[in-house]
Amino acid sequence: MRIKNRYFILILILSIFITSFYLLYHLDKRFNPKPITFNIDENKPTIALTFDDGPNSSYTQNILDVLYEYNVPATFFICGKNIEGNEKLIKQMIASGHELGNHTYNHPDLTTLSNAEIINEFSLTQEKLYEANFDYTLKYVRPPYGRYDENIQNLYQEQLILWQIDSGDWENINEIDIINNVVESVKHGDIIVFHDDNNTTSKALKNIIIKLKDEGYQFTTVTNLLQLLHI
Amino acid sequence: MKIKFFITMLFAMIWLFISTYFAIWWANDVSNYLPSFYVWWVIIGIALLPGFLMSAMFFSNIIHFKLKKHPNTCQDTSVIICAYNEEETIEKTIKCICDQEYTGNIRILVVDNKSTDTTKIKILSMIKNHYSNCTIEYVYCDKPGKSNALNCGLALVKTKHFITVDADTFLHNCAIQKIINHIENKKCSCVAGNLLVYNVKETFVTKMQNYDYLLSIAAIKRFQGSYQTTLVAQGAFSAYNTCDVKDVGGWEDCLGEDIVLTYQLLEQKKISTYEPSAVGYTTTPTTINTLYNQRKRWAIGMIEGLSSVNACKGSYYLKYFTLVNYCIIYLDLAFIFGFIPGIILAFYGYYYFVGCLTLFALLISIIMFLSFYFFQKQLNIPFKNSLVGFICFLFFFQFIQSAASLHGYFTKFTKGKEFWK
Ligand SMILES: [Zn+2]
Repeated sequence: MRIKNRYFILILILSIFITSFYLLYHLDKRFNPKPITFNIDENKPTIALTFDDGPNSSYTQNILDVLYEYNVPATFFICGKNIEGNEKLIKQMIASGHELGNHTYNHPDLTTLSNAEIINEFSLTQEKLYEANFDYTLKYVRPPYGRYDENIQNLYQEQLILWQIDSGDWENINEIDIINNVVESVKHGDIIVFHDDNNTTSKALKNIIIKLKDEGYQFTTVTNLLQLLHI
Repeated sequence: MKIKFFITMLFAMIWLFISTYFAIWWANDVSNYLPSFYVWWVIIGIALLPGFLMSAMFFSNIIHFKLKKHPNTCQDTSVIICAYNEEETIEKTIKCICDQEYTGNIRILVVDNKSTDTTKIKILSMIKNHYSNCTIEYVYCDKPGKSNALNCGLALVKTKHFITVDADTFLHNCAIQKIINHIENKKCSCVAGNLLVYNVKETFVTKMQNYDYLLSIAAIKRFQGSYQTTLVAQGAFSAYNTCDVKDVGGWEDCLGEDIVLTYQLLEQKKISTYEPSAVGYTTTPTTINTLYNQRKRWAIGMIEGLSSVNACKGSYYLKYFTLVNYCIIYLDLAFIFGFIPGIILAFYGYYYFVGCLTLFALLISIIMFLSFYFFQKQLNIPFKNSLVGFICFLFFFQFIQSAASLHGYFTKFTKGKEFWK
């Protein structure tokens, strides 16, 4: 009896470990993914997808999954206030090879703030990122609501990144409208803005990527796109 | 009884509803990272289902908190004690029965099941003593096996009711009066007594079991007993109606003969209840290994009970409690393959299954256990306490219990019935 018990417990412990290993392996693949590889053909039309206002604990994961599935690199303009609690998402973004940009800490209308307040908004987000142990410098800034004035432009100059195409996903519209907004007016060199804080975007994204890939478009990060255009 | 059961189910349903509402949100979140089938399997198995079952038990026991008292009877009764090499405890077991404060006569049938030690001498020396209201008889059963010994004893019973007591179980001095009062007044087929641990202070294993008997087992029995459907009238201390037991043919030759007998009685729509004030102190396994073997046998016994009868023939209560027992198999699996990996994930910083919510669940369990504790306390029956035991019970007991149970189910399902004969 005694020996049989030991065998059974041994098998039990072994299967518990196998289960745990499988789960950990699964999670590791999730949170430490291999970087997305992409080769840009200079003769093909190229665009950059950007996602604002995240990371969001409910929706960003879906977006990351879709991007990963279709091998699409993107740029995330994150808000400082959303960093805490979503470190795993940020870790995933960096590991997957996505680019991160600065979208202020509190998402205010910058045109109503003083220079010191504006600088503080952006630097706080960068600090928060360092505090969360990410050795990552946010290269670009994007003002909330796309609102900026000459003053802000002078402060940040070419670091300031806006967009050519607004997917309109912040307007509470349906999936099809988002898809049409993007697909109907896209052209080579465009930066497209989405928001990874709602369910509709993640649903629309898949179709947008499929359609644009069919039309011969290739996707890249903001940095790469700018390099490509400046050549 | 029907209304109380209905209210209990309503309460548990409301609890289930609220917890499911939160679980959907929880499961959707975790499904982002792990296979959603597994996530739901674990969440149902470690949170929703246990929450439902526990809340039903808790609520039912609260509305049945008041102890029912039964008028005294003075009918004669018989006690069957089966002994197989029990030289160390048999004298004390018999003495406890002889010292009972009981108004009728007690006939003690000590069935010696081919003991090879001094059990026989010990029993015979006890017979020489004279007691005012009890007689001791030595019975020899040469067919090995507890069910055979019990059937040997049953054949000699002439009283309306009889009691079985294990050779290592010591009755509290009014236990027989209480249990016979109950069975006589309620016209039951069987009544389970309230078992507590005798050797509490021996090892940490017994300290831990002290709380399993005191809080878990007793609470389940009380819940089932409230609806006349106590699924296990344990052989260690229970009272039976002689005719009813003879009608179903006594005990079957298997590992969980007491469980199978209770199920057979319940299938005949007979009443099986529980008497909390009839207390027996039982000697429990002192090492993890013996405890493991005991719980494995109980699990096999449970499966034997479940497969021996058709629960659909019984009452609604029997259907419910049978279903609960099937759920236990799932709960054990989910504990081993969901909760334990959950703990391991938590060590790596993934608080998906085990986290803040687990602490909350622990808090609720402690509150429930406290309510059960106070119920036992109001019985004015002495029992020992140990904080270490309670803590061990809270944190370790389920691991041994679930592992041993799974081993039991596994043995039963792979080897079938024949293996144990
Ligand atoms: Zn924004």
